Parts: sequence; structure tokens; C-alpha cells
Amino acid sequence: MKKKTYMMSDYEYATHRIGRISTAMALPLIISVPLLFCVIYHVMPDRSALFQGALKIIPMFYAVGAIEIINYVPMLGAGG
Amino acid sequence: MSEQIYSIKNGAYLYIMGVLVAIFVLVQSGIFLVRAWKRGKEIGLSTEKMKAALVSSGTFSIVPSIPIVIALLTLAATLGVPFAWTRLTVIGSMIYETTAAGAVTEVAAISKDAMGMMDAQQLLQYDLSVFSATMWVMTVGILIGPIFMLFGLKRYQGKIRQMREKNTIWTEILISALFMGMIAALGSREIAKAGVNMLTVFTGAMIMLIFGVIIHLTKAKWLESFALPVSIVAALAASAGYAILIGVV
Repeated sequence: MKKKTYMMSDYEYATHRIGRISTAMALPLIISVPLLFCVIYHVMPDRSALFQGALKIIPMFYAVGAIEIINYVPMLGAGG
Repeated sequence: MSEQIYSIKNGAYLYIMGVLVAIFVLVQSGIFLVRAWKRGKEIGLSTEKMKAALVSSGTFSIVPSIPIVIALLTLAATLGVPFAWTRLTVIGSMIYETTAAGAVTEVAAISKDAMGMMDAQQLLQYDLSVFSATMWVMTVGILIGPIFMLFGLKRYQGKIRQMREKNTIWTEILISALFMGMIAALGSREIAKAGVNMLTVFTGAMIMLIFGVIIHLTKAKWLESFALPVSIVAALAASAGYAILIGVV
């Protein structure tokens, strides 16, 4: 059994483990939707739309995402 | 939208991937639900109490789902049904998905104008490349949550616990301030747009304020569960009225 990083119940510990495993499976699945689309239809994303669109979205929503994590984790815990 | 691009955007591949993603999300949620139920039993919560919590949270999730359905209808017109549905199944944020799709479409519209005339084949290729760029931006633009959960959640939870042990009040104030900061940032964007957006924000805020005052004065804690859904529905309804009054629609 792995060493616990701080005082955590067995429930919390198992919740973290299941969450990490399922997230590690979910990420490739989510990314595979556009990736396989490009492979199947032999298409490359339009570069200017991709980079300029990403530039507009990522700074704002990564900041909002970070604040959401900071807020929700103490309220909901690992299971939430 | 040409017939060919329409059939690709609403094709079997995207439906199959959408179903796979939806099954994954449902299975994951089911696992956590069963674990939480068992844990509730272990710590002595009664079945009645947990059922009541399940029913009330299920009921109150209906109203916040309305904007997601509206977003699905809006996005389906440009992105096709399966991808819009897949995206809203994963994270389910109306604001994010519509903003991300809009950002790419705006850039693409300018590029398309600059490119001039295109034949049918070039146009199909271009539309597909813009569609795939939209898919990538919508997918990658909100991955910070799952990435953080994977690598940093455990450590962050430990830090928060340590901080709470040292100074509970300061930790609560810090978390509340960050949350209010986020709400202020999102709200101020709508206020800056003026018109219907601004009036809708103020209406929602006013209704929440009225609920807050009533709850504070009458100590009617049960009203807290109604404050958010009622404010959302009333602000949505009011926004339709403002749009008609101002003459937007």
C-alpha cells in the first residue's frame, strides 16, 4: 500500500485512487474525439483558427478553471 | 452549411464517440454515487436522509440544466448535434462551450473573407479544417480541471486541511474571496456589455439579495435551496422581457 501523504481515511484514499484512474482514462477518450476525426477525414485543423481561437480561450478559462478548483475542492472533497 | 459537411458533422463517427463518452461519464458518476451511498451508511446517515438529499439535488439540477439544453440547440446549428452533445456531456458549461466555439468561428470568418473565392472542394476542405480546429479548441480549452485532478488534487487537499487546522477563519475568508472574485470577473463582463446582459445580471443579483434578506430576517433556512434556482429562472424570464422592451428581438 502506498504511503499516505496526510491523515486520510481509507474512503478518501480509495476515492483519490479511483478518481485518478478514471481521469487518466477519460483524458485520452476526450482528446481522441478530435484526434480520430482528423485521422478519419484526413483533415488538419486550420492553423490560424486553432491558435488564435486557443489564445482567446485558454488564458481566460484556465484562470476560471483554477479558481473553480480552489473553491470547489474544500467544499466537495475528492468525491465531489 | 453544405450537404456534405452537414452529413459529416452529423455522421456516425461523432455519434459513436459521443455515446462512448456519455457511457464513460455515466459509469464514472455511478461508481462515485454508489461509493458515496455506502460511505453515508458507514458514517451513520439514514437511508431516508440520503434519499431526500438525492431527490432534492436531482430536482434542483433540472433548472441549471436548462441553459445547457439551450446551448445544445445553439451549437447544434453550427457544429452538428453529436459533437455539441458530446461536449455538453463532458463538462456541461454553456458559457464555456459557446464562447470557445464562437472564438474559433470569429477568426475563421475573417480568414475566409481574406481567402476570396473557393471551389466546392476547397470550401469543403476549409470548412472541415475549421470544424476540426473548433473541436480542438473546445476540447483543450477546459482541460485544466481534469489535469489538476490527476496531478495536484491530493496535495492541494492536504494543504487546505493544514491551513484549516492553523487558522479556520482566515482559510474560509480566502476561499470565499476567491469565489467572489471569480463571480465578479464573470459578472462584470456581462455588465460591461450593457443592455439586456447588464439588466439580467442585476435582476438575478437583486432576487438573490431579497432571498438573503428574507432568510436573514426570518431565519427560514429552508429557503436557501430555492434562492439560486428561482433567481436563475426569474433572471432568464426577465431577460426575455428586457430583450422585447429594448427591441433586441
